[in-house]
Amino acid sequence: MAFDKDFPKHSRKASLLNVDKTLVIDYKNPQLLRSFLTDRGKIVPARISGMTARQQRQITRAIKRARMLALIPFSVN
Amino acid sequence: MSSTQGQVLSHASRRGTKREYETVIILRSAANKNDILDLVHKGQGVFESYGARLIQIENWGSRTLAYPIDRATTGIYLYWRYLGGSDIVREFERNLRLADKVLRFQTILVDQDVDPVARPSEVTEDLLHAISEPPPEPIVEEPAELSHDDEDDYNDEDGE
Repeated sequence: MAFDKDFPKHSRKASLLNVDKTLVIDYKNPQLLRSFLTDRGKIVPARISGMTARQQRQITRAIKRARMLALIPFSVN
Repeated sequence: MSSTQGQVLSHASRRGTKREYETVIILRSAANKNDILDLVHKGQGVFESYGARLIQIENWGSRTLAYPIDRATTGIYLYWRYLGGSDIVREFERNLRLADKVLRFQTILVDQDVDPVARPSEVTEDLLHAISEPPPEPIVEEPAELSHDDEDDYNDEDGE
């Protein structure tokens, strides 16, 4: 057990959300959501951003809502 | 749909609880103060007749749209937060569809089974008048550093 604790099999990447626990994913905060978009406006996959599945679902939902309100773009050419 | 009034429209209304919704409305930038005030008063009328209650309303001011909507490149954002049954959304959105100055709107269910007493209204008569004025400076969105109110149940979900 102690071994597992010291050397976790895999560790999460340090990301904005994993470091700052107070951040809340909200579609009304486009600035935060932009950090989960590529330059072309695509959603960054969880394997790249290091999000948990749960966080990724929340982010995806928030991004899609923010897109509908024209707070962030659907695509950037 | 005045014929639906007075009926039990949802299970929540039987339990005496309400649902909390938030609606963001994008208005054409040509909308003036009176247009906004008209919309607010109309909305208030709808809320009253359906037993709903406005708990927060904000004017986010004029913003550049991330992409053009109906050839408009800027829009005025209004944020409403209210308690009511599911019928209020239908009626409120029907009214928004009829309004000429509304470019787009989106309603989100924030919380279910809310005890109306637990959500005091921050809306005053003065605030309703002030809503036609954009905020003094464009809202700078800080990445949610401000500590969020504990009473926001839906925020707590995120913290697990």
